[in-house]
Amino acid sequence: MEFELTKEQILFKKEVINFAKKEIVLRVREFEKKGDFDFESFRKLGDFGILGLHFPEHLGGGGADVLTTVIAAEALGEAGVDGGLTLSYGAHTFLCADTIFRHGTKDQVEKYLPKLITGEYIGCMGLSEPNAGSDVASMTTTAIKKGDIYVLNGNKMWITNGPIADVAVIYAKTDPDKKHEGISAFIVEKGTPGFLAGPPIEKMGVKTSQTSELIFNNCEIPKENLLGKEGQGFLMALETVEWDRSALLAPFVGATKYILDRCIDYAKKRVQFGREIGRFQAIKHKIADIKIFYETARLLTYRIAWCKDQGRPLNHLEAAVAKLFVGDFSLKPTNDAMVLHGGNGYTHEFDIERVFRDGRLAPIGGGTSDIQKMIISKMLASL
Amino acid sequence: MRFDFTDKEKEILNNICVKMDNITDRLNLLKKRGALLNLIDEFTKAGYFNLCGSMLNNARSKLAKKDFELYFVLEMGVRLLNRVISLLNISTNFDISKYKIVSFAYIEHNNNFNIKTIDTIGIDKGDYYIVSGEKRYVGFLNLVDYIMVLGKVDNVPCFFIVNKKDVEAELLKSPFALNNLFFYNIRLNNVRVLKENIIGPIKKKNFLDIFFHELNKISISAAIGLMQGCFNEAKEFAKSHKNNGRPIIHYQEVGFKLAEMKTILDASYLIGLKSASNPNIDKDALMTSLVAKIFCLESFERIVSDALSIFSIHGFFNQEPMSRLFELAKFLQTIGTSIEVSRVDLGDLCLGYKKV
Ligand SMILES: Cc1cc2nc3c(=O)[nH]c(=O)nc-3n(C[C@H](O)[C@H](O)[C@H](O)COP(=O)(O)OP(=O)(O)OC[C@H]3O[C@@H](n4cnc5c(N)ncnc54)[C@H](O)[C@@H]3O)c2cc1C
Repeated sequence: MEFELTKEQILFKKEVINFAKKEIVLRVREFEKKGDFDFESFRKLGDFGILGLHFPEHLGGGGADVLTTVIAAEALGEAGVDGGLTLSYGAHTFLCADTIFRHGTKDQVEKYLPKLITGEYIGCMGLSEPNAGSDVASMTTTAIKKGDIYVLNGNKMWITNGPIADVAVIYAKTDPDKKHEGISAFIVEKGTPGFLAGPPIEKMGVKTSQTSELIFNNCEIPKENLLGKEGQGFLMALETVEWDRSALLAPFVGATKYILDRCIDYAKKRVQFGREIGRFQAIKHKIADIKIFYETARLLTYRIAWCKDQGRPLNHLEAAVAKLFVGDFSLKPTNDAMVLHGGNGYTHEFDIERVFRDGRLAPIGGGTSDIQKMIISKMLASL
Repeated sequence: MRFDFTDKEKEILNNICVKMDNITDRLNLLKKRGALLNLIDEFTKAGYFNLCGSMLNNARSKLAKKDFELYFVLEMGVRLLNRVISLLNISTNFDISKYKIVSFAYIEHNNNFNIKTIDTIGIDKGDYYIVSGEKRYVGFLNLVDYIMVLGKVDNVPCFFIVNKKDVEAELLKSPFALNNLFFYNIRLNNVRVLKENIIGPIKKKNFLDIFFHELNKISISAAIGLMQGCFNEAKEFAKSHKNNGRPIIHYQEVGFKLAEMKTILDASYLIGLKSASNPNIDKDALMTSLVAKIFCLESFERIVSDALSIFSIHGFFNQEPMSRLFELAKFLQTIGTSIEVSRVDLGDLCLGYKKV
């Protein structure tokens, strides 16, 4: 077994960190405060090649493997890029573009991928609904075929990039009488009559990512916009799970390194009772615990990426383990980091509270921690 | 990165597992030196003592899961001496093959972690040293002829190789979880040790870090193996034990507990392997080893505690009682640097207060 990154991977990671520090991080606070999406930084991610890192070169992508993609995502968090921008990138690249790439026809891929890869188009994915979150199979959005078109009706909820997306991958029931097997996936473009995005929802964290409801009211789309075959939608959504559990988690793991470095700096500068606070054992404990979380979470995340690179079949158990670990175990270290900074930790000036707030999405988005436990325990019961 | 063993590595590990599976009459092995020496020979031939890195970690975990007491003797009594000599890069004047199995004596009443406060002292008398001091909790003296006693000459640490016959030994009541092993407090009262019978002088400043790093590896691998066993037993119990007509694994209280156990088990497995795979003794290696020590040992305690909740009263009466594993979890936390000291050390390394 080998657990170290290669020299090339280390170099690449440094490059991404340098790029992000120079081009993006300086703008984070301003956009975070306003809760606005930073279009310029998003396009810069495209220019640098991050939005399409793992797609083939002939489409404008970087041809990288999954592990390299995860390393890049981790590097963004480590550099100090906010969870909002990295979530937007994740939803765009892994939940939208990747699904089109994997299941789209040649025409669909050629039409959308190059523009999604540069960031000219922004993508989103709509699976959750107001009354169907954890239990997605109970979704009520329908796509009824009428000749050469599908007619979409229903609402999608909590959709990252919803208000700003040019193209959406939408899951809807083509056979409302069925559960999972009745779900199909579609590409819906912005501006299609009957398709509306609600206003951005104000959130606790990941503030720069724009989240909204998507409303479909007799929205007609050509039958060519079906992705894959009818009834395959649920499996497609499941396929994104490994991305969700690796590349989408990676920025948060990177952000833990970011706060660890901040804590070390602060503990050596801040003096109380005549000593650097780092000299107190309780502060050392906190720093040790953040380090422990970072190192273990990182390995679990890399493991999914490595398995994906080996072409191993989808592994729900390991994926759920990684998601549960990051979701549930991140609360203490991010809280510790905030407390270690005292009053400063509670202000916007030190970024620590932002990482804390952003991190609270980890046990909710993309399947709550309870759902991960449900997946794991079901698999254990059958092993 | 490679998160799996190669086919060749798997084959080697399998062969060693076969040897472990063939162990019979373990109580005899733990009581009779002759039988134990034969087993050591067999394990040596099978390559157990040549393993290193993540393969060693894996094999260690398997043996600890199978028979912790035997594991403890083989690791602390056989491998540790060779590791200490090679890690310290010390040229020795004695024939190491003479010391197939030894005991290490390093704990003192007022000192575990600090060279400065070691009270066992050797006085140079020309061809030999006169050594005096007291050591605690020395394991399996009944199986060895020699004891490696940590001490100092002129304030420089070393291990004195002391004949068992030359010390006064007081047999202690064995811990419940290790009731087939014997532990002793020993007293050295002006014991004569020939000059060639020392490992040292050890000039490396971070010698105790290196020594404890090695002990930590022993406890990390064992914790991983034992918690795997513990988790599997709890899982099987939850699948077979019914309440209200349903296997209890189907209740979220139990199923979710198992999910959490599985999660920290996987994380422990990976961090344990990672720490073992780094052969260096630099800052990174020590930090990863401390991360693994804290995480794996605390996870073991949590897993065994959760397993006990799942087993309920049955956990105290199993063939391999969970309550015994609970004691082992706490016992292993004390091998090498304790969890508390490990946390402080890790914090110091992160902060740059401690240099390697
Ligand atoms: C910022 C943000 C961005 C998001 N982005 C997207 C996106 O881009 N696309 C998209 O489709 N969705 C997105 N989501 C939705 C997200 O995936 C859901 O919020 C999540 O799956 C949980 O669904 P829910 O909110 O309906 O909660 P519910 O399913 O209603 O769950 C409520 C509570 O009940 C628990 N629970 C539910 N079922 C069980 C059970 N069987 N056993 C035990 N406990 C249970 C849950 O764990 C939770 O604690 C986003 C959410 C947020 C907050």
